[in-house]
Amino acid sequence: MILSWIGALLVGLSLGLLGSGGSILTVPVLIYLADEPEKVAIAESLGIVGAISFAGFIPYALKKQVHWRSVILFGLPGMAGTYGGAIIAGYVTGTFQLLLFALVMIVAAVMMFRDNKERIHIDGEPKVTHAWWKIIIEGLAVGILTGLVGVGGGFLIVPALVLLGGLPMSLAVGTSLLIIALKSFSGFYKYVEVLAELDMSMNWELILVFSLIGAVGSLVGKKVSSKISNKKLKKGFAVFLILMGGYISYMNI
Amino acid sequence: MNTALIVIILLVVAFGLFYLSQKNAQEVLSPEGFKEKMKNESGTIIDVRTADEYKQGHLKQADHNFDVISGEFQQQLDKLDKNETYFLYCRSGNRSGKAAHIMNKKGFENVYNVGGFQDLAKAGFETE
Repeated sequence: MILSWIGALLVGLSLGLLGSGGSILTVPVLIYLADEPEKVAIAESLGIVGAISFAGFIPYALKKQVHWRSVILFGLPGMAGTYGGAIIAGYVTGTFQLLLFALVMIVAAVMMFRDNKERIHIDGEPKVTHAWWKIIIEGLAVGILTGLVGVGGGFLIVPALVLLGGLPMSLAVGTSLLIIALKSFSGFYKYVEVLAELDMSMNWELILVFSLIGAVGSLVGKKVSSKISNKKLKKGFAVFLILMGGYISYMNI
Repeated sequence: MNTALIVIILLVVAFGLFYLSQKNAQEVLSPEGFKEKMKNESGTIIDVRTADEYKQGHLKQADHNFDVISGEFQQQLDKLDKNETYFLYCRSGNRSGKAAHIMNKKGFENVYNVGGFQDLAKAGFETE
């Protein structure tokens, strides 16, 4: 178990250091260190990511840095999508889900690697406001995908909020954390049922302790992040994710 | 710090943890030891992975598929004879270690964790 807790700490640290993207390590830690079967790990990851995101959201909530209209516009389709993703998970194999996960991991890493521009420039100029139906469809699609692979999808949501919703960066972070928490919990809720039908059960103690350690790790990571060159760290982490994604695919094909 | 160094550090940490987690799966009977034991005494082989994993490939000699993380594992054990010898395997040896622990607690005395499915397959055990 100790190794799983170290893994949880690393997930939390990378989450705090890098912002979105760090939580993607939860699934591999659960599979390779805690030895959970793929499908169970993906479900548990949703619960853990939801809990850590919610904990991260609290400081923003206290500062009232939440854009509630975006929460509804992005959050509701996302919740429906993740719920749907969990339903689909009842009909596909764990190996398929894990391969899809490896693919998402590589895509996330490539996005992370290319992300050179300082997003803060967009601050205060909400120009592009896309049609609401496009936002809803995107929310649904991203939701289904994240539900199937057990990630929060923050790496997709933050750019979407800034670009599609035209939200300033200061509001985007808190808002996206709340959206991630809501949609993860929605998928997690459905997974409890889906897994019960497949005669599998989740390890609640693992979820609880992992979430706590992860939340603490992310606080520490956030404190340290100002002292570390974020760009290089992000690139290094992205390359690491690509290698891991390749390894996971190789092991499962 | 340059990017390459960060990548190397991350990889070393990841593989270090992975290696330790494999090693940690305590008191695993090696595939060779398992073969030896199967020759001398009869025993029941239990695959403790999920039905889903079992379907995708398992040892030909496996007698049961009792999923250790399902709620039914304990009841399934009630059907077994406590004086028999049992060999458990899973994907990596970790879950079968847990299962062996549960069985020991229940009063089974001759329970062996024989490790991960891939290792057994590599060691020459027939799969299907």
